[in-house]
Amino acid sequence: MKKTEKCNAHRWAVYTLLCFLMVGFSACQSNSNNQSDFPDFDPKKDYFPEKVSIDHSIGFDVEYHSNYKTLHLFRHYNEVADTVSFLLVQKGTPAPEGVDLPVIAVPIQKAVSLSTTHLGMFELLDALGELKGIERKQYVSSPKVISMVDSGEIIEVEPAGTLNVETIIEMGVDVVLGVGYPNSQNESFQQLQRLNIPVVLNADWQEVDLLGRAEWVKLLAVLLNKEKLVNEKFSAIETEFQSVLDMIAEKVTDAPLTITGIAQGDAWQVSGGKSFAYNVLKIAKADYPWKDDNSTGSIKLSFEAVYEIGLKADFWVAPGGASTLQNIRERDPRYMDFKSYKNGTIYNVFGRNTEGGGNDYYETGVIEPHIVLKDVVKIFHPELLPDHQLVYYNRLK
Amino acid sequence: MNTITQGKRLRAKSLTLLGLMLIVLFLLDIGLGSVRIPVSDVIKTLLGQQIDNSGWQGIILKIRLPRAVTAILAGAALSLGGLQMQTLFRNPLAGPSVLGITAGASLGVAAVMLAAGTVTTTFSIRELGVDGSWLIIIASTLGAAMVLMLILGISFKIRDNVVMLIVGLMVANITIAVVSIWQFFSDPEQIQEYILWTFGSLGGVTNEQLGALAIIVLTGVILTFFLSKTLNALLLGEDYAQSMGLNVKWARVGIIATTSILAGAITGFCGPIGFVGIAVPHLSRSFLNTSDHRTLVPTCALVGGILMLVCDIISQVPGSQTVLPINAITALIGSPIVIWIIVKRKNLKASF
Repeated sequence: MKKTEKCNAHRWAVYTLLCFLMVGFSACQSNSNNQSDFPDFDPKKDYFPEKVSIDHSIGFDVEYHSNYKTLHLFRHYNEVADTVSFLLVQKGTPAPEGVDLPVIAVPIQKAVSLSTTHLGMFELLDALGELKGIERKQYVSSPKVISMVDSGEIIEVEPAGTLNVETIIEMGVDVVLGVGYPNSQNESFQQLQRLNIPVVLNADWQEVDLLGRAEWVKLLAVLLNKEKLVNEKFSAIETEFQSVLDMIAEKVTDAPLTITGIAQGDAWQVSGGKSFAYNVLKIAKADYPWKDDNSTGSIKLSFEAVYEIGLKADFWVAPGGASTLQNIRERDPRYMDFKSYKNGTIYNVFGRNTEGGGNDYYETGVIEPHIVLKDVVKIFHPELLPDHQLVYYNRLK
Repeated sequence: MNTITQGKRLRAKSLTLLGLMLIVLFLLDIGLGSVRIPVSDVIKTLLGQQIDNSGWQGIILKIRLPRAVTAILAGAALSLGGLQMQTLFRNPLAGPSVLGITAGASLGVAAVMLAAGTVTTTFSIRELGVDGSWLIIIASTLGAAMVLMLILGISFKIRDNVVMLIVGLMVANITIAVVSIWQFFSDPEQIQEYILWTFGSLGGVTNEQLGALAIIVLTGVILTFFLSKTLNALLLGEDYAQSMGLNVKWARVGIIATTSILAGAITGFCGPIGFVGIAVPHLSRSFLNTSDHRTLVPTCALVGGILMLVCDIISQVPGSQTVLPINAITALIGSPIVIWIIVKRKNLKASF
């Protein structure tokens, strides 16, 4: 007797479950692309007449189709370089069938950015209205963004150092622009993705040159459907950049010796020979003791190995967090033996840093590669640009 | 009578031998490094003569010499701190960090590196015109002193040494917890800076700072020499020591204070350097087969210096351009040596 009862209960449970599943399926079905849901959709029309091409960046690419774009992010920073793709589908049109990729409806209207390197891009594309959340106000340089945070138009989503997932969900954002590092905050990003909030991991830091880093502005433009605007603005930057390069090629004959980094503990980290930081110096024709090195990041050297070169190097660029000669002296009086210290030719990127620890070099500097280049040229070859004033770099005093 | 003179002779012999080893390693440490400098130039520079390459002269006098001296001071100070703690608590696992003094120093440094910008104290220190490396030193000294005061306060109340040891460990845990909360809320760069500090560094001490460090450490070493007899008495047990007329409470206060000075100073200037403090007392005891502190104190100081010099030479990876963190080398090189000697001699147990 008991056994049958149990059996019945079991059967009942299975039927209920099946029912639920069927309801669920039909709900899904009605959600998926039924052509009749998009009466205005014309599959033959090119919804994106203006397109961008990615010429400098190694980190992403875009493919155009009639009513959607495919965005590929290449994660060179992982052990095995892999690709993450998204479908950017024009609003009011159906997503392509048979492609199993996360979908972002474009143009996006509510975005959260977790890096100050994006903020300059939003401003350049006149899209601060679409920016609804930032990491933390403390590191922001842009007065516009700061005032928008103060007025509540932009919300801080990482006020205490960890991403507040609930705030982001509550805001109902279209996309979160994160920063891609090896193993970067995967927990909360995955949580967001499970809730259908796409996380686009921007990795401009892995680019090898200034233009490559600046070109990430096109990624934002693609999300905003602002291809026309970005092509205009970016080609102007490219032209300006090229003109500086031409001038260097034409006029520069000498290559002053420079060192980078600063000692921390017993080790001195200098920029590697294939690093972004050294590339900036290289295009401005500076000589570098570790130019044949193959590292894309930094290399750890002993204090005395760098000290020996520092004694005779003409310049010293980006000595860690030091922003004054006093800083340098107090960190270690041995730095006072350096030629660059005696000549006052130590430069860092604190031309426009803020009280709170923010630095515009990592904000608008990203989309002003021509200015950064001019700064570096001004440092190494001041006679070439007599009228240029250092913007992002500063001479340590 | 005969054995005593024999013991004395053995002691004198071993101390001379260790002293010679220390000098040889000291010179070796100065001679070896990333930049290859000919021996003749090294000797000339050390004798105060001018050499053609002023860069090499700078490397020897401003980088390698202070680092080698720091290594000796650090080795001696940590070893003596460890010896005193092991004797006081009669516990072979005790070291200079058991009472939370190193953790306190870490807390001070974390306050500067991680909480900078949020804690007003950092700004007030900076306003005094202290910055850079001195700021770190002062912060860690204050942190260590804070924990020391706490521990001393408790040690007046508590009679039992085992309870004292546990209290010390708990205080250390509390400080570490505070540091980890700060780390959690800090930026990657700040955490990196802090983590680099925890790797330890002998090369960060400049000639100017070396004077201060030397005075503090030498004071601690001399105090330890004066405490030798007290330590011997404590080894027999507190009750026995008391019956010999020793004021156990004050002896304990003296030992804790001396250890704190030694460990606090080294942690402040070089970062937390582990292992040496635990290992060297065992090495010395095993090596000389004695637990007489009148012999152990000078031996520990010498063996500590020798071990640190060896570790420093290895961490510089002579001939290469790179360096290894000293804190890893001390344990990596030292542990097998300790295992070997202790297993071979099998006389450790008799000491406690």
